[in-house]
Amino acid sequence: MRMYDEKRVSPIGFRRYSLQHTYVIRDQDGTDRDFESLYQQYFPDILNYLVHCVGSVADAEDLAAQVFMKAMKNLWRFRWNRGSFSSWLFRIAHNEMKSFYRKRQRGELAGFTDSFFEMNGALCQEVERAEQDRMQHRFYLHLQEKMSELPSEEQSLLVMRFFQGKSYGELGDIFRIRKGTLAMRIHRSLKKLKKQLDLEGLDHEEFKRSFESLSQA
Amino acid sequence: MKNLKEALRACPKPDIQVPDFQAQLLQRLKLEQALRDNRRQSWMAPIGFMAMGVLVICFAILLTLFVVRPDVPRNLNQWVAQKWSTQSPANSYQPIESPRDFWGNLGVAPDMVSGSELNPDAANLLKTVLAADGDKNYAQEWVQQRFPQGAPRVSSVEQEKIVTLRWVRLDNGRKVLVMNEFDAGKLKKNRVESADLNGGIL
Repeated sequence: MRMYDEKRVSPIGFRRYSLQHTYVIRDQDGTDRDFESLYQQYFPDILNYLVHCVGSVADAEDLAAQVFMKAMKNLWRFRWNRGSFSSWLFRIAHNEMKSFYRKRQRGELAGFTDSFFEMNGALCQEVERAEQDRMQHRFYLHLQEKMSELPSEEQSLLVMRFFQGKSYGELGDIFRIRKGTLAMRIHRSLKKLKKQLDLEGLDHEEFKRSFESLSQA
Repeated sequence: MKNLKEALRACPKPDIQVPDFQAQLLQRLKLEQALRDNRRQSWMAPIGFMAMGVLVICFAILLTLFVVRPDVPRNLNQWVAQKWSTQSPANSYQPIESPRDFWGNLGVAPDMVSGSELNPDAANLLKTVLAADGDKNYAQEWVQQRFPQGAPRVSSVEQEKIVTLRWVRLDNGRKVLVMNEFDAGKLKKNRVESADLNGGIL
């Protein structure tokens, strides 16, 4: 699977690689996908993943913008045989998230948002609405807060596995580790999370019961 | 632990949707891509030429090192001087001043030929031809031997011939002597080559 430029297809059907046009890539099943359709498909997943990790819609928007900017710049490097496009995007998102934490620790995040967009009124309102929606999920906020205290890789693993329902295969593609190692890391991360919840006196059994009662209602 | 997993899975999570931001980001990405294309077009050509130049230089270096493989020491001047001094005379062009010495140096001097399996006539002929290659004195001696009584004086050598002689074995078991003549005047430029040819055959 490689990129090509549709305008430069030769008469014998051999598709030449293009250095200049990086919008179109061919899917595993042979269908052509342009970057726009991939963006429309994966943007919500990436944004939600970043919101779960970072805990702020505004920061997650900035990170998502960085992720897709990098994806577009490096689309020519992408190969299907090394994993799906979604895995590739999530790997970029994970790296961006780690970089975000690092910068935040160093206090280098000033002007981060302004570099991409001038937040006009409509966008600000949209962010506020999203934040309000997030704040309504009380249990989720507790869990997210505790998860954010874990190391970034463990946090990503838990978010992708339990919040976004990704399989071990997909996680293996994203983090480039074997399934056995993955299972072990997830287990350790859960243990750490459970310990933190216990320290805070938060009973996840109670959470579960309340979720079930909510879902029944 | 299992309950925690289930709690994490079952926990109601917000589904964040930001359609305005999404649309605006897409426009921004398209703009960025267009700008990048323009920027790339401006520096792709020089980079391409530079890369081609580097490739050609690398190819030339590899060709020199692995195909030509010159035995060049560190001191290049020393190597050139050594190369010049050790150049063998046989490989370098030298004008032939004395034909007799020249033929003799090739190992087919008339004395050596006389002891070979050539018959006397052929040996004499060879001697004559080889030695009379522009040598008036030797031609005079040969004429005196052939015509002991009243031998005329040789005034000049009219024609020079280069002769190759080959013993050829026929199917019926006989050996015959085959002689080829070349006009030395026409072959003067290729004298070294023709001399090599004669020496090799004899």
